[in-house]
Amino acid sequence: MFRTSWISRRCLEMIRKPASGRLRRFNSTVTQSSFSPALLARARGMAIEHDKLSKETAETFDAKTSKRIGELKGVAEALKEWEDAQESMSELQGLLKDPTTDAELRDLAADDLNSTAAALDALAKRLATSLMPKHPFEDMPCLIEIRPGAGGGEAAIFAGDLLRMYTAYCSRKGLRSTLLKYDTADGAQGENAPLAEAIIEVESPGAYGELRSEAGIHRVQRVPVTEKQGRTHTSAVSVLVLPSLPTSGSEGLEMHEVDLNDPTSDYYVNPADVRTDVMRARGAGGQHVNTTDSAVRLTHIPTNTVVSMQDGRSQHQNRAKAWLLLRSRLAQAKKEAREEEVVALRRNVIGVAKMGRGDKVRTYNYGQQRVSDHRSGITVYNLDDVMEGGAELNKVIQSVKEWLGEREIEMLLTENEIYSKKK
Amino acid sequence: MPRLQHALLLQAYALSPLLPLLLRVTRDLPSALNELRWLRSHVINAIPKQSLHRQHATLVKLCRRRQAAEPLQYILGSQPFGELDIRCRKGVLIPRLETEAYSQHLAEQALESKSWNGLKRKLRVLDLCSGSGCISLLLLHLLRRRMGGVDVVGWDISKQALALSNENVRHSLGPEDRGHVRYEDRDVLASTEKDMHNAEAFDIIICNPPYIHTEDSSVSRSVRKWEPGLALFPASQATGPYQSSEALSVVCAVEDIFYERVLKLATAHDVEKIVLMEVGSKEQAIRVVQLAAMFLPQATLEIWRDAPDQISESYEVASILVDDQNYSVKGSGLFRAVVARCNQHQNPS
Ligand SMILES: C[S@@+](CC[C@H](N)C(=O)[O-])C[C@H]1O[C@@H](n2cnc3c(N)ncnc32)[C@H](O)[C@@H]1O
Repeated sequence: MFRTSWISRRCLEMIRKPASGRLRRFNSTVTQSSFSPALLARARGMAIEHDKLSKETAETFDAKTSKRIGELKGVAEALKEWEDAQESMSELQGLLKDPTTDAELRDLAADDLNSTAAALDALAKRLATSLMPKHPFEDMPCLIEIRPGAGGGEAAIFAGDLLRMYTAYCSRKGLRSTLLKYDTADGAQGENAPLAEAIIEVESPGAYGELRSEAGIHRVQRVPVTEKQGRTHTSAVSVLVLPSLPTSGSEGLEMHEVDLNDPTSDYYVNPADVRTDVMRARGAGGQHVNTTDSAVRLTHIPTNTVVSMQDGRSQHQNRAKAWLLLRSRLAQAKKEAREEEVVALRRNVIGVAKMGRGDKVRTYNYGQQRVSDHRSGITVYNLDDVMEGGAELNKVIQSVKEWLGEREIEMLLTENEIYSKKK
Repeated sequence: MPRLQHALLLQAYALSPLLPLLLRVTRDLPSALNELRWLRSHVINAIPKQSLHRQHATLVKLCRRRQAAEPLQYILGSQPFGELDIRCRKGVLIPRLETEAYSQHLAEQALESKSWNGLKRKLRVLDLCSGSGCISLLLLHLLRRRMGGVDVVGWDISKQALALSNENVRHSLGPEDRGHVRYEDRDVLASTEKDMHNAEAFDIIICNPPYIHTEDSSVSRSVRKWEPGLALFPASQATGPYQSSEALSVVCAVEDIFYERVLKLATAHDVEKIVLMEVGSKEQAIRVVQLAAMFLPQATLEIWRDAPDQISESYEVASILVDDQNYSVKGSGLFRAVVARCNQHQNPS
């Protein structure tokens, strides 16, 4: 592997001398196309596994194996094409290097080399994409938590707007969603009550992959209904998107292969670490009172994570919902902790900031009727359609997903560079 | 009852003019808010296609009823109990959260029990003073998947309770489970030799009897005013067919009359048996432990608190000494149930 890149660099020096525009362009392509050894090693390892498993399955069929083969296939194919192109590159370079090659052939080879280099560029990108590990929670349902931030009452009202936006968006996209928790700031009821915290559960598999890019701070700029002088205010609402574990027995469970009882799973929570508190009746309890208080509070002692649920009349259900929420929060925290290290490395090298809950991701400007996403840079001017969860919102979300995909490939490449530099 | 603070009422009024009505019963704002939300969604779901104006009028009416301390469960007509939804109606006691907690815990223990695990026959459950049927229906629901299945019998003397429990069979159970439960009109205090004989075969005897002293001041206004005295106060029956024996009157208070009967029904047994009796206070728990020690001398006795599956607080004792015997106390909260386990090869006393 190491030899490959070394050779190509040598060749490069050789052909650089007859400086022509074409060749200079080629020069830049080659640098991009040469893969970091670590990334290449990983691709080769996967291709070997693919071939080995393919041979095995020919004899015995196993659902798990064939699933793995499916995962590896893309990498194996992309690698093969990239290697083929790479090989023809070296051949061409060999020709150019050879002093006995006549001038005509030399010209031809230089031409070919150029187009191969362009193809190699595309193939390298494809290989990188195929290597991109699928987000581990991609196929899961999710929870969307919406909480007003700075900006007081106006933030609470906008939080309600976002809640409606996502609910409408989900139903438009055919994603099943239910309102898991709805706390109003002061307990007021009805459509426009200011929101303190809302949690939507989007039960459809893949909802996390679809919506995870929505996490972050959403900013609104508008004249609040309560504002008498007509001044524009800026407020913020935080949106948190958590992968959610389907309740046992539901369709998704086999799919994610997450086992609540498997201590290595992100969703494993040791019941001994969780303290349950239920609201107790005042006084003697039992037959003496007929309380309706069914609140349940769970505390994860090692991390001091507290969730409480009191919306339902059923204590049993409140408990189940609280567990769902606790599992999701802890899984997210575990994942974030794991990523923290890598993120620090990335920041040092390419200055890519982590896009997390603390970052301002989007602005909704009512005065200009526009919505701008600060990550993908997209701006759309049909704010109403966005707030109704319509096609414009879809456009924004898709642009962010693309942006995120590109960033992740970039990071993967950088990660490998860091890795190979450290070696 | 202390008067509500003026500021609290004003705060509630500012949120909704209906909240102060509920606040008079719930005494705290979060509960009042929850109740208002449940009442509102009940109005919307139960009586759809009403004009907004009519809906509001209905809601106001329901809040007024609640203000008069009528239990929310009677107004809404139901109470969740474990995974079940139990219908509630005036004249029958409302299922309590503590009852739900120990029923659930008992079912878990039954499923884990080594000697019952291998048992291929049906597990038999007797629910004395069955009321709405909440306990027996939940046990049936939780135990029906065990290998041998389960059969449940409930006894009560209240016609209204018997009617409601039968209604709850249809309302809360799937068609395949309904054949495994039966409610009978039987007086627990007047149990006959035949009843005693019948009771022998039960693996679980569970009873939430009336246990409150008539003068007890800790009974809430709503309970005293709206729930049936027959379900709460045993004193009215103390002079009936039942006369406490002299020996028992030494340990027993008048509100304990049911426990002796329940224990008597449990004495004859040739199978492993669990007897669970709900109690109303620590003092009553201790008296019931004394009684149980007399009737079931071989049995292992323990006390369960309100939340038997929860970790105890540091100030909660894990055992208690009664007549020089140590009994373990499980869970967290107030003393709520006395549990006796009788092993298989034990002669009836
Ligand atoms: C405290 S309630 C318990 C109801 C139900 N098991 C529960 O936990 O919600 C007591 C029940 O005992 C019934 N009861 C009262 N005296 C009885 C008696 N002598 N024999 C049988 N049942 C009786 C009442 O009708 C009432 O339904």
